[in-house]
Amino acid sequence: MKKNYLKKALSVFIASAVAVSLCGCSSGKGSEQTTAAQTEEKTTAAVSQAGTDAQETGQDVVNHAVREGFPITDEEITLVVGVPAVNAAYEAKWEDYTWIKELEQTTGVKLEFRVYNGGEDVSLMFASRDYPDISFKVGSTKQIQDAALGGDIYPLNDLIDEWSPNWKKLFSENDMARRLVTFDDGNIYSLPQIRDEPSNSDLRDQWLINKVWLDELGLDVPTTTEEYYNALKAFKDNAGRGSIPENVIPLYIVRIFQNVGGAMDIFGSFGVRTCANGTVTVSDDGKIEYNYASDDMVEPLLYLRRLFEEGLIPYDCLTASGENYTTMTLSEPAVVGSYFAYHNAHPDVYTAIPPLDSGNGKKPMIRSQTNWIVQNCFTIYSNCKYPEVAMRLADTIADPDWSVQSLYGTFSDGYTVKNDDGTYLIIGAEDEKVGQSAPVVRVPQLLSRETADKLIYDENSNQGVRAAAVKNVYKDYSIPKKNLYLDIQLTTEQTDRVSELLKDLNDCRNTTVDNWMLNGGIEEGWDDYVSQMKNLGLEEYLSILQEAYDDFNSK
Amino acid sequence: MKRRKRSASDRVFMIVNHMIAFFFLIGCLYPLWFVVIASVSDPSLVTSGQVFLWPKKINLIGYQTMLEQKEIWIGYKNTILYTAVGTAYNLCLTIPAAYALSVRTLPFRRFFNMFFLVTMFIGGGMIPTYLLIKNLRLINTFWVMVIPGGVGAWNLILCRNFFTENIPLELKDATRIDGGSEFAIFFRVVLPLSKAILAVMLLFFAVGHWNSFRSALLYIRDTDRYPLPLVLRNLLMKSTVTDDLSSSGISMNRLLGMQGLKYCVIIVASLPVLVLYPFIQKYFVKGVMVGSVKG
Repeated sequence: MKKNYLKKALSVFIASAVAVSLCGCSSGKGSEQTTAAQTEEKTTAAVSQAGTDAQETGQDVVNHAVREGFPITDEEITLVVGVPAVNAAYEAKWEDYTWIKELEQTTGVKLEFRVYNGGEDVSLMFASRDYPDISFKVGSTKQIQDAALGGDIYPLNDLIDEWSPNWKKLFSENDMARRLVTFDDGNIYSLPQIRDEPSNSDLRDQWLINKVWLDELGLDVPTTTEEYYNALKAFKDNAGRGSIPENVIPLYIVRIFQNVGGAMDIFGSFGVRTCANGTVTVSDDGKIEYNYASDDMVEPLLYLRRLFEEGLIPYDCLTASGENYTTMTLSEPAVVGSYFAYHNAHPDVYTAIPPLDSGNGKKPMIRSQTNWIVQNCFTIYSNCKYPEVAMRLADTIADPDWSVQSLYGTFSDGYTVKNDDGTYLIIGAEDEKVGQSAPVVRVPQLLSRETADKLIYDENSNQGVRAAAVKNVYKDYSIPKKNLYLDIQLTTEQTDRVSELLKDLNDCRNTTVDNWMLNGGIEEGWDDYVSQMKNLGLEEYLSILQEAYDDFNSK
Repeated sequence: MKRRKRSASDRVFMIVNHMIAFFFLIGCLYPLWFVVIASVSDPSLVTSGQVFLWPKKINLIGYQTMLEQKEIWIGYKNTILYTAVGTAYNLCLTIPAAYALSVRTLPFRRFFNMFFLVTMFIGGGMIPTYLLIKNLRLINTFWVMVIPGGVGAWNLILCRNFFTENIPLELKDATRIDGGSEFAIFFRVVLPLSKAILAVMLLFFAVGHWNSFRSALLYIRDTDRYPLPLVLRNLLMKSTVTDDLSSSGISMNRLLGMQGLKYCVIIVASLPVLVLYPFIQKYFVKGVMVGSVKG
């Protein structure tokens, strides 16, 4: 009897618990929706209220935002800023960057940082709708799109027009940028980061070869794929002689299709167009192309296989991690004969070579980057009470002085100098601690081409060496902007489908090519590979992107 | 006493047995050994796979870099605080609750037992829990690392079983006859007899707090409040080359310097727990086995 009673009590308890939790969910949702709506009402009310205040007092202050000059507010305001995590190499805390301190001082806005470490806590932020006031580089296009649909994000169009001359100017001059950040409903929900700097975006990786060893062996800098092969072979054959160590690695790559330090520029030498920050490229007549399954790939793959087979690339490279790459390529004394890297950290040892002539009659090319624009870098959430102040803050960051300093270190710390003629001297980080002065690429900079042209790099700095290589070595080879597929906004369904397809395609491509590198059989297996890629939906993938691309161009 | 003579098959069995055990031992010890030798070897040799059994090019650069990293020490301090306060709080809640549940005369005893048991099967889920924590205004505070999860149902049951089975009713009766109150029974009789389970709980909760990074990842936004495991995680996950990083003015040499660091941090982070274990171990087996055999 007693047991029965208990059982009943328990079942009642569980049932009621479930019921309560269900009610909790639904009422929670309801209340959230109303709060979202309410905040919207509230904020518009606040804006108009502030507007009338300003009219009454006759000052040009709206909701504590001062229209011109500094500080940008009439009283100290705190904005909560969501930011990406402090990286091991970006050493200082957000609060401690000289650049941030100076920004706070100048604008009169106190910044309070909420650090997001990665996918999980960012998803949680969007799912729980617990937003900061503004965020830098937090959230994907899809997350922002969804949150905007839910009314959680301020549309920025009017704010830009009224409060941000810098961004207004950019969007009126650079139509491409404007269209890229404008959502389907005609609103801009997030400002991008613009870094239209040739020394960055016109090239992905420099192709580096050990000049000291070439000189020791009496070889010229290779210009064709055959000469390159011979040079690598000579490195290997002369292991242990001169400054070439016993355990020499003639060519080091980080897997085949890795963006940083991968082998894709070898394909470029054979005239296969590849892209740094994406999978597809655009042909000259506006067709989206996926070149990893085009027949032109057979030749470079055979070449690559030959390098693997003869031990010129270690098989370890197929599974190498970024860490392996850093330690191998930077080791002193050098053990690597040739590699691909953004910076040439030892310009006294390595020299940059242009993409090689393969002799197949096609023009060699080298990858450039689409990251002259990076989307979703500045968002104002609807719980922000001072959107006007936030926009003026964004405008301040977009100012050339502030943008240059944020990227290369502050004037006051001696990393950059502003000359009287308006040019900037980038001294570069001798002590390698620029990461303690400025947040580098994690704030919404606006570095237009106009500003970028005013940058003068110290020729001994990493960026200076790169800038020189871009200008002198790679200028004629880098893949032009029009052939790059930018991050065009897709609809939610398209985004889901594309990432699904892309995952399968990449898996198939990577395993097949890795297998070929290990065991050969490229020519025999090629047709199978191509038909497998088709079965996995390559055409559907391309047609989605093509559709989005055509839509985008007709806008 | 003369040793019993073993048959041939027994001996073969023992040899094979020992060999298998030995391989397991190697399998368990080698990763630890590797971390130790990797922490003092040249990082470039470690990542290129040349450090295998013995350290090569011994240096202490990793430890030196670590001493310079402010956030590691802040994390260390935070973790010690979270662990100390959190464990004390856990014990204060769990031990009395477990004792109360072990008293047979407690009204609604079965209901309370069920009440705790249910939490083992039904959790709130990530987002509702986050919203709860947020509404309690615990986000980004010291207390978020301490207060939630004060009582673990599993540990509670373990303690309850210990009390039920190891504390004879007669002892309590004797205390009552001597004029002791219920509190006297708990503090002066039961607790001194329960050192084994207290030690085990201490270790369970302390190790849990020491290693916990998930709640910090979700609820802590201020780097000054990061516990060591989160600092360590960021160090491990983010010292790799990303597109973002390589496009910045950050020198790759800087990254290289960070490579040796992680093994040193692993050692420093696990040292306190390694030191704690041997002292508590003698209670450990006794405490954990409680309730496994009904007698």
